[in-house]
Amino acid sequence: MAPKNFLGEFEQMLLLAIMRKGDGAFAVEVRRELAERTGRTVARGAFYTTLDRLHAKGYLEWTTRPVDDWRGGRPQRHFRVTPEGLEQLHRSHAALTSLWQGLEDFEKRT
Amino acid sequence: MNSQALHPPPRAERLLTAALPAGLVGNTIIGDLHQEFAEIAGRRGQWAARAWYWLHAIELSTRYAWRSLRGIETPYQRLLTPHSTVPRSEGREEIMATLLGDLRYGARLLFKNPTLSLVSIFTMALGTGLTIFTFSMVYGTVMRGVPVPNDDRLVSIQMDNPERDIRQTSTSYADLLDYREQSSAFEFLGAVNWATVNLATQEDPPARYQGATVTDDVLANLGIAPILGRVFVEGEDDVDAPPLMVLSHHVWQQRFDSDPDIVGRLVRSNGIQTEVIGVMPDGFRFPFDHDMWLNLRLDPDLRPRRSQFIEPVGRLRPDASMESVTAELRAITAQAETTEPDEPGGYRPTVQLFEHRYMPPEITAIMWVMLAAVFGVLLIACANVANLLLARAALRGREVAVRTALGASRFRVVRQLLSETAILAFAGGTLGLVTAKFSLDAWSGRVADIQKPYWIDFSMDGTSILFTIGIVVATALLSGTIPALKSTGRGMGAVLQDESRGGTSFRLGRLSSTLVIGEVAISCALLIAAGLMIKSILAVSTVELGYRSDGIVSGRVGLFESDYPEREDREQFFADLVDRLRAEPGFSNAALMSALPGIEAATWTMGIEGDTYESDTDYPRVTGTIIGTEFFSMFDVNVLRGREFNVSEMGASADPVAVINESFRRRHFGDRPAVGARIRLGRSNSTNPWMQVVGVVPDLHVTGGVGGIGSDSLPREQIYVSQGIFDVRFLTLAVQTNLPLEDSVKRMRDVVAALDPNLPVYEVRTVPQALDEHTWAFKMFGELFATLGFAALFLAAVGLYGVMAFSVTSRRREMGVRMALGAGGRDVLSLVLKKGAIQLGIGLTLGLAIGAVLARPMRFVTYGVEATDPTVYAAIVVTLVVTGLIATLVPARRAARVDPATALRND
Repeated sequence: MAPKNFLGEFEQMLLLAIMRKGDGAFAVEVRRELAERTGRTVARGAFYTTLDRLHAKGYLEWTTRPVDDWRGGRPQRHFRVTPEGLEQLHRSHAALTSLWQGLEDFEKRT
Repeated sequence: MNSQALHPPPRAERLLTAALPAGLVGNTIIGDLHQEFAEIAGRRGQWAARAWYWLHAIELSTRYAWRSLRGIETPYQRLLTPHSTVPRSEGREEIMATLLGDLRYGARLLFKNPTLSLVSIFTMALGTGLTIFTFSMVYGTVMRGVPVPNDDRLVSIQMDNPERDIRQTSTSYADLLDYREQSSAFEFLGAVNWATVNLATQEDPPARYQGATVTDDVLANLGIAPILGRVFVEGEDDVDAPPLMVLSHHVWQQRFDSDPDIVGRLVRSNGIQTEVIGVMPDGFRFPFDHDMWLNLRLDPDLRPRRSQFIEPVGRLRPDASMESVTAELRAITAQAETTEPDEPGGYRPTVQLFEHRYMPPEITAIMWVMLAAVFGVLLIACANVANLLLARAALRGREVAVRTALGASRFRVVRQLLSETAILAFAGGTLGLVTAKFSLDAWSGRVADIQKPYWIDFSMDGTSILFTIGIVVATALLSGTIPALKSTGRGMGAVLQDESRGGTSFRLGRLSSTLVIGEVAISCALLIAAGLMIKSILAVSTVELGYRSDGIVSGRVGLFESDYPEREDREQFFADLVDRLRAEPGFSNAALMSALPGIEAATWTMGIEGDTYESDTDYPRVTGTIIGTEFFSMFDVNVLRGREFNVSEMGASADPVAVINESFRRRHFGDRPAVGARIRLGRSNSTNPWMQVVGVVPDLHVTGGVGGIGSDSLPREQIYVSQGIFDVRFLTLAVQTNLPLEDSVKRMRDVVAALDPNLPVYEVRTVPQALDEHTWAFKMFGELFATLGFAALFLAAVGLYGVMAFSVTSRRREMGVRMALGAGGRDVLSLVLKKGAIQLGIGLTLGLAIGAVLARPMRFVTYGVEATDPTVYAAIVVTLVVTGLIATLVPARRAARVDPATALRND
């Protein structure tokens, strides 16, 4: 059963950014993509805790790849949006689209 | 960049490791940061990258710490995500929960007793605020150091000649070459020389800058790379090398609009075509506050031993010590002097840390005294809060006992009490930090225009913030631990029994008295320092200048030989200048001089015709100023005997004349007539012309800064010589005017421009402004010490009052019994007063002793007051006794008004 609540705005953005970077996107480039596309700075703390949360909900998964001596020898996570995550995104999108229906020329009317 | 620079700050990394989830996830996050750190280091340099890393490490760890504190996986979220990711230790959660509970409980109690809480918070804010402010100042002035790599080995060399009473003078090129050749203690040894640079481009009018001429090895070896172009390379300090210039970042930005193609551009510097070869990074102003660097082009063959004009700067090898190198250089100098017996000898070089070259040891000493003083204030603040908490802990003895009886461990109870102090310290520390930040900003703004070494910066940085955190934790522990331990360390049975009888078994006793005595002692010592400073400020503000300073505006002009090759040209220029200034409507008078009176003066040696001197060292030293005509009339100084200079006495061809002051006349002429006598600058072998004394004037306050550092070092005897005796190229011009400053400055510049459109007028200011600029250091220390002293006084008074008031409250029952047994209100009053008086007396005695010791290094920054000034000491004792007695009397009177029936009925 799908959860009742919808993805938050930032959660949606994060998932979309991962999808834009393609499978195996890593954190540094996802954060950069977010910043470039949305034009706002992404607080690092919020970024990682949201990643954790989405992972905990099962909407994204990650694998690590070992690195050589760059990054101080520390491993790198590569992210992928899961089918559940994609479904959630679609749900959120559909909900928003349905709410917008009939309001496209709202501004013109008022 | 070396490989070490590619590592993020290890402490920040440790912080992250501690805060982030352990294991793979945390590790990958640190890796991400590491990766971006390396990119930023490559783009913006390692310092920017380190700062960036710190910021992000703090942000991340705060976020994660907060998350674990809240226990972010709320039950609601757990329902949503049955496969919760990070398994969380229940123990950790429980500890967090109790800690939060403690804090909440503590906060509730503090709200219940707002007066006590506010007094505690305010006290802590005062203590921490003053400490952070002073620490940042001391850190920025004497601890941060010159921002170049290995600045602990960067040295400068200065010459002393005790025989000739010459101190800290420059070195000659000949000496420098000897040191380079014969000593192996230096990694590099170059020289700098200050130079005023008149910079002109084709588009812009000339402007005056502070430049430094340097040998080719100085910039190359300091370890700071240019952001554009290059610095000087070997061979470019040869006498026939082309003139080259490296710009500072701000001149490049402001004067050349950050022109990316600046390298290779030709400019005119002091009239000479010069090529710009590079731009240094922002903030680099070596050696003092410099705007640009030119290559020092020296002729090694033209090297008279005592043509001393350069300042050697070098870096010692890691194994060389200042003392051993000083000894080595002294031997080299002594050896060289024996081979050149015609040159004056007796010079002794001294190697010192470069940083100390521009930071006199007196200032450093004062800074440390100030830091010690402010720690004194902090201690008082801690003692106060401790006392207040002790008082409350006493009243809560029963609560604590009940908790213990119900099974709470001592640790648990202490932690509860400490968490209250933590709230107080946190609130006080935050308030203090904010106050200190604003004060520092205001302070930096106030001293922004003062010439000071470029690395002095009062702003807060990572170190100050870490220091603040340390201070807040220390205050919390200092003021919380003792009361907490004290109130829990007793058998609960006794307490419960005691409390049931309605009294307070917990006696403040010796601990509290000791704290009060300590407070009185520290504040007494600080007040003595403050008193000396306040008396000095009064002395400076009422100093008899001896001349009129209001309504006089001054500026400075300098002529370069490239534009004015002959001495006659220069003299003609100055003669025309002063004529035109006097003719300018709005200016009622004008005069030329080597420097404004009261600002600075040269020290000269001179002899009187007919007098004999046993040796060269016996020739009198005087303070000398070069002046033109109408100097004394413009500054409203009455000529006591004779007259001042007239126009015919100006210029090289005129008869040399001089004016002396009254101190000079009294000391060297006594009953002999001074006017008409002849004097000569220099010693026995002088070739200077004899100058006829034409007038005697009163003593003017002509020293290096009224009350500034070393203000009393200049001779009181003054002479004024006419402009014609020296071939001067730089002169200060002063006009007397009622016009607003902007108008007079504009007219002054117009007059100069009419004579020479390429000549800038600089250092434009009124005489009072100039005096202010030269007394800032003195006023700064004065205000700070006064602030510290009054803060200490205030805190001590609050502390004394708090302790006395509490002691009276907790002894209400005892007082009641005493009065019921027949003691009068007067007896009770004297009982309380006596206790206060004893504490006050012991504290004062200790404080006077500490104060007398503290006052000794202060003589460097005081003016017109002795370190043992009895009026200051007496005033402090009276102030403290009165404050102390008031603080004791109020609670004592309350005790005396106790109604025995009420006091006993409370049982």
